[in-house]
Amino acid sequence: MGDLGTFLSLIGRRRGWMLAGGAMALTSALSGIGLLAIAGWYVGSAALAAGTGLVIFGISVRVLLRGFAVARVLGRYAERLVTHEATFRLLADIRLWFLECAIPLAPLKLGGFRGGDLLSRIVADVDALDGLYLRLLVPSVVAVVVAGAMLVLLGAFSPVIALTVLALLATAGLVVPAWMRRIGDASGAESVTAAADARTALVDMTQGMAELTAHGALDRQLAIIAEAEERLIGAQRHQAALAGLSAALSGFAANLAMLAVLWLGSQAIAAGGMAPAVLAMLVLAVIASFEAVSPLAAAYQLVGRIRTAAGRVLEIAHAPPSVTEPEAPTQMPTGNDIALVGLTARHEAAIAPALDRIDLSITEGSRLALVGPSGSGKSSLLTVLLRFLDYESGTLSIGGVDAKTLSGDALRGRMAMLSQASQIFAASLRDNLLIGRPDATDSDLTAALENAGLGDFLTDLPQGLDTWLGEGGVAVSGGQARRVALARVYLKDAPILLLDEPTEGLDAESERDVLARLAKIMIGRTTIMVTHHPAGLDLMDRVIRLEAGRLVE
Amino acid sequence: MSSPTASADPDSRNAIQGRMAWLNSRIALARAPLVLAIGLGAAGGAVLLAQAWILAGLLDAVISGGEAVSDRLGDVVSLLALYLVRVGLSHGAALAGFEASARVRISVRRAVTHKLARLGPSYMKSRSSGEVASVAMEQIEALDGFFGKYLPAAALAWVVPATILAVVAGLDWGAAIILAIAGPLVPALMGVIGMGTAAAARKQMATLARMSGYFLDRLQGLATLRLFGQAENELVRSREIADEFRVRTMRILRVAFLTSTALELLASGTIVLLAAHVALAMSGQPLIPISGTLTLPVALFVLLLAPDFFQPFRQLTTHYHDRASALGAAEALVAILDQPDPPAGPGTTIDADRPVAVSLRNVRLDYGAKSDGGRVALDGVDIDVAPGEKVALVGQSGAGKSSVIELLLGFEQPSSGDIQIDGKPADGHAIREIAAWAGQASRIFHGTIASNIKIGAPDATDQDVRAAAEAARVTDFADLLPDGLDTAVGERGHGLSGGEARRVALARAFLRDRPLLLLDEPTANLDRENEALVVDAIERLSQNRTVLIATHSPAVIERCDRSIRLEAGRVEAEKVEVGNG
Repeated sequence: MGDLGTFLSLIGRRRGWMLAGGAMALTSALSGIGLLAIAGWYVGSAALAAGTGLVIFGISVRVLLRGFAVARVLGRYAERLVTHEATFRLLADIRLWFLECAIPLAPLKLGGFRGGDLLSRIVADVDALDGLYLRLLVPSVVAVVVAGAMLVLLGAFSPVIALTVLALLATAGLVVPAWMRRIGDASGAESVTAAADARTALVDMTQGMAELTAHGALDRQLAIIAEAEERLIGAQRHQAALAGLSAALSGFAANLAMLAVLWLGSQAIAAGGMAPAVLAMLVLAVIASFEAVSPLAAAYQLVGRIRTAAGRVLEIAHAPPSVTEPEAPTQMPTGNDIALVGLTARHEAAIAPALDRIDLSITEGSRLALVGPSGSGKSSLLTVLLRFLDYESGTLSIGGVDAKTLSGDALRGRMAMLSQASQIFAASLRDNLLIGRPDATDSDLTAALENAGLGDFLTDLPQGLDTWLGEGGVAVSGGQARRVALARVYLKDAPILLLDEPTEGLDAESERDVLARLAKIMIGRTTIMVTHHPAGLDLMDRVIRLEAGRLVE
Repeated sequence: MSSPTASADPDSRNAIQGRMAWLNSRIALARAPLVLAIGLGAAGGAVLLAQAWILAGLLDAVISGGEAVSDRLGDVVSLLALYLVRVGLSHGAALAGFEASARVRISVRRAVTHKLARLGPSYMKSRSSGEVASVAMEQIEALDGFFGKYLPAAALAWVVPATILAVVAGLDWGAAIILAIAGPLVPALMGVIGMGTAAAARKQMATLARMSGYFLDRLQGLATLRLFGQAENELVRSREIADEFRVRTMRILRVAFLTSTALELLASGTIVLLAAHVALAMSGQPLIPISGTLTLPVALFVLLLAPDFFQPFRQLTTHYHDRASALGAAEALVAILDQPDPPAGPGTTIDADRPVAVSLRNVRLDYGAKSDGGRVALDGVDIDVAPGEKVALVGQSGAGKSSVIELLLGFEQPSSGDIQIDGKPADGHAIREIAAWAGQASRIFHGTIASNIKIGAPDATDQDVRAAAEAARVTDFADLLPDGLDTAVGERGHGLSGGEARRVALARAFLRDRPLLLLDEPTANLDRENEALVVDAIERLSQNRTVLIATHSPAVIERCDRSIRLEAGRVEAEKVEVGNG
């Protein structure tokens, strides 16, 4: 269960809730045993007294009964509330932690994982972890305490009974769960992966509906979904059958224990070593104690599922980021001169370096165009400047300071980027723009939209800045998306401008318009533009060419 | 940020009854396993009675007869045997319940996914794909408890207590009256407490779907957020969404817990009363005066049955929130299933042996109603393309170029006007059969590069796939990958750049090899060198085919026979370009 250690440490962050939940669970379990034990003793005494005197211990027994009854019922209610609240807080923590871990992986390390699969991990896999505290940790602690309490209680009257019951409790609480875990592991894991496969196929369908429809491939996609679902149901069926088996086995152990206590107790009574009322007490206490232990078998069956889900979450969370942040970042320099000396960088999978011993200096305020064929390293150079991709040798300095000693966020704070991928978030237009500058006022936003050539677009929107864009909202064309991204660049107002094919996919007229607007932004800023179009090259001071990761002026 | 959709009150009585009716009508899908589950559960109840009778006798022998259990080995063996029988029965009942749930889930998932397939790209355009995927996955899984556990438990909550009541009535009227009064209080209690649960569960499901949509969107845009240093800020928003989900889930659970607590109180109160009654009845002074004097074994039997009387109710409360979850899930499911199917066209098939003539006659296309922000995409468009002609659709972004292609493919239905192939009206389904298409955004599916290329031609040979990959310049990058065309891509696979994905999409069109070629921005994201190569490839592919290309690229326009300029949804000017021909 090594994988689960990380989560146990996350649990530690919610120590208060976790401990309170455990305390409630213990209160309710022990009160349950107390209630039935005293009730058994009381009824047993009353039956023997046959109505002549129901008051043996008098009021105190009744008070005890009532106290245990209330503690049992209210404790159970409080236990469920607190343990569930604790669990859902934990799940929210894990989701946040997952996102936090995913941030430094974007975009390169996350590139290998697609939307549907990541979604599975953050929603369903995290959900599957709910059993960790609720169904494994708490019941295990309760079972151990209950077993100890039973050993003391039964041992006071009969060591033989105590040891017999303990053996059966261990069977129900340890042997059966361990066995269930072994045979439940595979189908538990399969239920997680099959569900993830089904979700992947579903997202493939919902996001690729146009391709599938146009190519007459929907039926095949439906078959892929159905196949994953069949595997999921098969795994669930196995798990359901095991759940039944484990309940049966632990119930059988409980029945055996009860009969064994009766058997041994009746012998003791016959030998004059035990009062009948005590036997009634012990029988009922044993029944109550098994109630506390029996959920363990079904819970340990979940271990396979939980572990697979945990593994999938950790695969992201423990992935090393592409760039390691310095422990104590240096102060950002005042200047913005960029210098690359003998810089070599490599994408993980590739054998050949993406950038090969690049020497390049870009003085503040100058304009540089990077040209070259696809895959020559143009975009990789921008990625290195943004500190999304680390370099293995050579140096990169900004304002004379080694980039490796600077905080990535602070460094990127100096840069604004416009690329062919213009991400529109499913959010209001306002929230989409505020990404550029979170403290911008509405008039700042309107001005930025005007500057980006979206003034008319804004006027036409039904709810202005509050209009919902992207998935589930107003569809934004490629050209409009580019301009929204341009408006973000305006808002960010950074001294270094990185342009990656900024007019790609635009029609000639939009291309001219966007370039004219960019020309205005470039004034007073360092600009590095990657392009394979002649358009816009006239705006630049210098054009350099990259081929297979090497500079060829 | 709140979801932009709003509709009639989904918590109204009518709406809930409508969803309940939908759930109930699914029962027919799983009648046999449900009947089996209930039958086995009822049989288990009968075994319970026998067990209690034997145990009461045994206890009596031990307590008042002073016998040792070892003297009544027969009782012990029968108790264990009956226990095994009961385990078998309840196990069978659980498996039958699982089958019921599995059958319903498989059938509903099939219905939903097939419905989505019929609704096509137009429906998905205005929806979050993460949300829709969550409906087809999580919300259908949420039906599990209702069909697998709640329905059998609801039936057994009548059958088992009624049987116990009848048996107890035969032995002692007084005890029967106590149980008969307590029993009906249970459903009343659950009704009162559970009243708000349905609405709460629906909101929880909606929150779950929204959370899925939100996380999918933000995870996909994480790079942009990092560029602007906003990723950490987004965590705050994520915390809010995750917390909202927790609060909504707890709201439902709190009711469920309250219900079961109330039930436990009622059950213990009743048992205490019953215990007092039988204890007094044994001495001839019963609490309910119509009882006679009880013997110890009968008293014990009645007492042992009391918890079993309440057990089915307890089971029902445990699964009561499954009903609420199912009702909550039903809303989103019915919303998809109730979508009207797009109109079926004339259902013609088109002879695919030779190039076709394509015409649009006075075609109008509206996106959504004008009142809620809809817009006119095409307005009275007439286009005629002769067989074998190669036409470029040009114009600004948003002018309607893509709309023309989407109409031809049947992704959208014209609000008015006609689409004709060879002078005969044709629907999208028929046109898709004779068309190859590469769209603007190229979705790469989970699988290999080769399987992605084969999407439109599943029976193609490896040789054909390779040829298509070469024609679309896919091999240029695929051959550098360790597994070549067999490299895993898509979800959990190797990431392709926008340009690479575009070339894969083109390779699909090459492989599909149909008489009508529809291309939407085929050269965007390719550098000059590759653009020229792809233009050549398109030219080869265009031989003996009718071609419509939405494009901005002068290089592509140059190779077309003529271009049609669209502006704000209208044909602006149709001019014959001086092409290469």
